[in-house]
Amino acid sequence: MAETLLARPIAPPTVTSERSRLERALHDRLLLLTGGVIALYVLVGLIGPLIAPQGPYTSHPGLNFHAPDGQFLLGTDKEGRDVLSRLLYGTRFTLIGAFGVMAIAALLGFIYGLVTAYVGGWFDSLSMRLFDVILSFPPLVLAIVLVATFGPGLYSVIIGVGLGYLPAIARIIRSEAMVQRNQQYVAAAEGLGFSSVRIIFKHIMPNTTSQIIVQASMNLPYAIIDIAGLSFLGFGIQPPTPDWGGMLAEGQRDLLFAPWLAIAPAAAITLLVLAWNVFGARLRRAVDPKRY
Amino acid sequence: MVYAEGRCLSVRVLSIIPVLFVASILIFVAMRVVPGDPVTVLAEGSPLSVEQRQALSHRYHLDQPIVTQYALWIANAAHGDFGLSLKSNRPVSQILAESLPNTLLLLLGGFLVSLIISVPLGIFAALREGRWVDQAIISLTMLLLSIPLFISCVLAIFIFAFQLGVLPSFGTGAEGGIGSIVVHMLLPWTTLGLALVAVQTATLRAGLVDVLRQEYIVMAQSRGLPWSQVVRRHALRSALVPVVTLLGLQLSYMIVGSVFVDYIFGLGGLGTVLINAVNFRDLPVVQGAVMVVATFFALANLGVDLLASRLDPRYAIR
Repeated sequence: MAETLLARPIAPPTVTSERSRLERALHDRLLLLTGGVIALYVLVGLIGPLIAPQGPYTSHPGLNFHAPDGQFLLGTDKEGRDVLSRLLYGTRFTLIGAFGVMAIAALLGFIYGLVTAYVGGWFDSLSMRLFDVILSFPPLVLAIVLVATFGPGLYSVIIGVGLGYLPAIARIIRSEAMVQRNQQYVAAAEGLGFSSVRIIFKHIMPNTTSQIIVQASMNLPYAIIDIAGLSFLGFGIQPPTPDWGGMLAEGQRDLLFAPWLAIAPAAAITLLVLAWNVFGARLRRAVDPKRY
Repeated sequence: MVYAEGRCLSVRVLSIIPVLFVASILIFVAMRVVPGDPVTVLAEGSPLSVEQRQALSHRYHLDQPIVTQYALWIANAAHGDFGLSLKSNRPVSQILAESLPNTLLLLLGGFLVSLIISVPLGIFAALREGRWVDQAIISLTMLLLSIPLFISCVLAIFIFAFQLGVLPSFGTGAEGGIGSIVVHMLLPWTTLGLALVAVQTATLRAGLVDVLRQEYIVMAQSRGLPWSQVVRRHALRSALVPVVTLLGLQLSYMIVGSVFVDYIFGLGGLGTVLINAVNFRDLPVVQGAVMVVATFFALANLGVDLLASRLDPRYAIR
């Protein structure tokens, strides 16, 4: 054990250019594979209704709880609706939910983190204390409070989960921006009399974008889980609209004699989350090899 | 030293209070901006006469200014009185007190299971760093990380309760004594525990790999200490510290996870209470349950902080 440890060569520090990062990313097969899976999901989210064999609400009376076969590849549910078609239609709602959460959390968190780091002072302290309060709730509980207030639905859920993720992302961006703020180029820009807005968005922002990409891609699988979980609990999109979490909840009720109802959405969610987890980890390594 | 430590402790404990205070305002305001007239919500849509409306709004202090309403609510909440449930008319505190033990039973058992699995797995992987066993364990944890809890619960019920028929899938079995509780909780504990395993294993493995590269380990080994002793007495001690610190981050995940496990397995804990209350728009119960969760979360975080600074003094200096 010790010999192998001592014999391990110490890698020399490498300087990576943007170009070589991209090249390395393109050579990472796992990154490409999982990226392909995600692209496929997005494609299905876009054109799902076109390739679905049937409508999501088309029911076949007398053919309810039909086990998977040649006609219904994933079987039918209690109202005789084709599970595959509902799954394909439902893709977009899960993706809209997850991307919506990241749009709120990453975009607002990004801007907020940059501004609060640059402005500093009481605004910064107040923001950080407010974030402490938000972070004193687990993110999903925050979403549940919003659902209790505004009623169930996709928007309540997206806003609730998004606000739950915002503080953590804003804090990371803030600490990145703090480092940049003390660099000489910022002092130089201030000396040249540039406006704060210009310094924040034109000078500091480009140096923190790789971090926001990493944060967004790392948190996205959790957003998918949260969105699907909330609709599983009946707080998200309401039936009969096809949605994976809702389909799983329905499937759970008939698990004993129609397990395919639960298995199809469960597999769809798990594969997407798995692909995104691996993709996020690989992307992080490609973008920032020194840190991870 | 003792003085500094005591002061540090009291500052940490006191710092919870403003956080909970602002949290209580947020919860209260959230419940008051409910779309629609609160009296109509209270009456669950049934038509009311003017007198009945007045009586209802007087009973729930809705005829008072909002600041007074908040003051009344927080003063009562401070001694554990969260009002009456709209649905069952029972005191909210009583409902919460009944459900809290079930949640604690689930959380503690789940955490224990996660340690039983992740500690050996993390050590095993770290000692075989870079070999296929290590790679396999890393891939396994990535897979575990990707299965949402509500899916693993349904899967566990399907396999162990329905297909194999070996374990019960509902309730805590509290009426049948300790043996029955263990049998009933085995699936909930394991599903919650497995959800925590991924991050714990990865952290322990990374920490141990790091420590095993340190010179004092080589030194201990060259002194002729058996390898198992080196790992157990020297390396593990410092590699376990990040696992405890990690617990703080895991807590939020554990509490959210317990809501799902609790609900799906019908354990009657805080999660079930909260979800049912949201579905019935039983606002006093939602307020009370969320407040209890926030308090529990803050206290548990504090406990982890203190434990971590005990184990690693560097952690306390912040």
